[in-house]
Amino acid sequence: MMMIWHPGAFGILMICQMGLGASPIARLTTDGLEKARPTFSADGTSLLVARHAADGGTISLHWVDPAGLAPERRLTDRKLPEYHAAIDPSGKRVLFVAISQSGTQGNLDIASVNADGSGLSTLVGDVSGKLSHQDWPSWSPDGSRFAFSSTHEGNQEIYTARADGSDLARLTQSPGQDVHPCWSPGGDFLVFATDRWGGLELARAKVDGTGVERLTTSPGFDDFPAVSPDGKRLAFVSNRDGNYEVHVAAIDGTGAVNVTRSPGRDTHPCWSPDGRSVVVVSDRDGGADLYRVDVGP
Amino acid sequence: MNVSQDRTRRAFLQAGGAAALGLAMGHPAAIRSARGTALSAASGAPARAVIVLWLWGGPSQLDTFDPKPDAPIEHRGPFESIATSVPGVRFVELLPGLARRAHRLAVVRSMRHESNDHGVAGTIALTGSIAGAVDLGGNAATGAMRPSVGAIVSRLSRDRVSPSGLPPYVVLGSPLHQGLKRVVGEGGGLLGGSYDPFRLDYEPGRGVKVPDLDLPPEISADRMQARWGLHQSLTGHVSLGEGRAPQDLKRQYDLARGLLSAKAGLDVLDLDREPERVRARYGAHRFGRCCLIARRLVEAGTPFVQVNWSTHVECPEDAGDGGWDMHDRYFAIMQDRHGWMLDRAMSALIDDLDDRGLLESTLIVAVGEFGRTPKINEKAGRDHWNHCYSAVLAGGGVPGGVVVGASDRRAEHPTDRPVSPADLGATILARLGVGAADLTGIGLVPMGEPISELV
Repeated sequence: MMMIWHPGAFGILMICQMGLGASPIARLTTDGLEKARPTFSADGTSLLVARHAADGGTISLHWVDPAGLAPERRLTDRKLPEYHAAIDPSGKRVLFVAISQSGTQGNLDIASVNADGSGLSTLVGDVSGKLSHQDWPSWSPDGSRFAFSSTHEGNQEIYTARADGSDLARLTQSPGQDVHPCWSPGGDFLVFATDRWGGLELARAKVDGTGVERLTTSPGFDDFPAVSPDGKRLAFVSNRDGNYEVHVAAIDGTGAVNVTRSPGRDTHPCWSPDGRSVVVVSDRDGGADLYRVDVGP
Repeated sequence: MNVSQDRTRRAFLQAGGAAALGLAMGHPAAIRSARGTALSAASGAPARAVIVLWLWGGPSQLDTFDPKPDAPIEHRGPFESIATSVPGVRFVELLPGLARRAHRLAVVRSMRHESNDHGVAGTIALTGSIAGAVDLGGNAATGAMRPSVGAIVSRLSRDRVSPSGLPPYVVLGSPLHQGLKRVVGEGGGLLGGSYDPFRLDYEPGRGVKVPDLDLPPEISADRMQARWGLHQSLTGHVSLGEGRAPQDLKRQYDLARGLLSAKAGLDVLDLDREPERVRARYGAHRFGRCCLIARRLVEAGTPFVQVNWSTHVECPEDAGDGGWDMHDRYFAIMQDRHGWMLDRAMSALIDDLDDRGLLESTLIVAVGEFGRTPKINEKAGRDHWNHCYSAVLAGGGVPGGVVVGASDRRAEHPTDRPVSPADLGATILARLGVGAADLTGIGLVPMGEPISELV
């Protein structure tokens, strides 16, 4: 059993109990190349992650076996940059950010592809012909819609769309940055990061954009929220302790615990399907690799 | 070439193939040879070496060293400012390491010049002059290209090979580009190509590379050695002729042979000689490793090293290799990549030099070709802004905890003490003990005024 001691929001000493016999942190990859936004397949047997090439000049999506048994493989055979993937609840379709080549400077589309790499199509491109970027897709739990951020109306806001990319609906109305939406497993709200109150903080809103509620208040940024599969907890990145760490809190943002606690950079958390661990990108051992952090049931 | 891992190619270099490669691959500028007057190392100037951290693409002044937390939300950006070790001076939250070392830094918050074109601005920032600059449309400014500060140092160096075994002016990175267009200004300009930089680079997962001497995969070391033998047999009977160009070429061969005979010139590039804890402090990414190479070069006696953040201005997801030209997704990239990379690598460089007693004699300068628009654009990015940006200096006798100049409440324009790239260049040279007489002595017209607070 491992315990993490952390002063809670009200100065209360909190105890987080790790699973019996579990290794609290396990390294899943060793290539050390830059990575972004891992996400689990629906059955939890594979991870899809964006990875830079060794020369740093290209980024593409790769299936990774967290057990280290199966060889890594590309999601698509595209030559152009692709990253920030989201797998639909059925596990059959993947949304990702697809870039047209430079000097487009900001022409990012939301593309869709089958999990086997077939059936590639663009779902949300330049809306009304205006150069803009669409980013960070997140599926609704029933797979009928997805959320994402877009700049097509002149500022970065959160939108949702039908699974086929139609019926865009704007959720946020802020002159600042609204980014990194995560649809709750219950389907009733979205968590996202916003700088409307100063630095980046986490907020949630109903899926029609009403009822915006602030979840965190901390020095430094809180970003990249990920709601646990049971909808009760929130993993996110914060530098409130002076370094990029992944924290886990109750869904209302209270009781945040630093679960990574390394001098390295820990970021981009995603939950395992069983909700017992989060996978993060960390450079605690030098290069950027994937690590599984057990956080208990 | 991978020095740390590819022993075959290393053996080839040690055996004497590099000069042949410089010939065979058509890169006569790879290694230079020329006469030189003595750099004023003994003049009492505190700095004996310079490391320029060239932040190609142009960082935002607001999101680095000149945050404006009270500016409107459309300007300030999503990142908070944090206190530094200097009371009253704040940096952006992505730079906590540099904030803790602010008492060692001099921050110039009032840099400015006349162009917002990467190519032109790059030339201005590196040479102090717009002369000869070429813009994105291919239009060249009138006048002869001035030499970069590094090239001036190279010209004034006593020896064409520094004690490190390498030429006195080393750039870590390939020639700068804006899109597919090469940017001028890193070289010797009117001093001549003999003072162009010697280029090295580092590729994560492979190791140190010598771009100009990189062997194509299909060519073995033995084959190149054979070519070198052929070259020697030919040049033994063929005159290179008279005049500057042939003599420059001959000097390149001489220098190449000198380089190859100096084992230190190779050892200095072997990062495996560094303890893991030191490598980790710099970071495993290319920029961090290049900062570590820069320290090793300076330690070995190279007087001027420039670390290029990237070859291309564009961000990595936009067909570049990770420059600072983020017209879109500025804040996402700053958070995921640029902010912490700069913070860790530059902090490590400062500490490492200090630990070795080299900080007082080594001037670090971190600067790009311009800043970014204070008003956030429609793509969550910032565009080019040459009217106000920041430069940061450390070591080399420059006083720490100093802020030079100031910008207005949105960091749009200097409100105090505007500083030009020519002034910054003059400051670097002044810290090295190079004055107007040294410059006129090699046919250059001195430009700019040293920043009085820093010299």
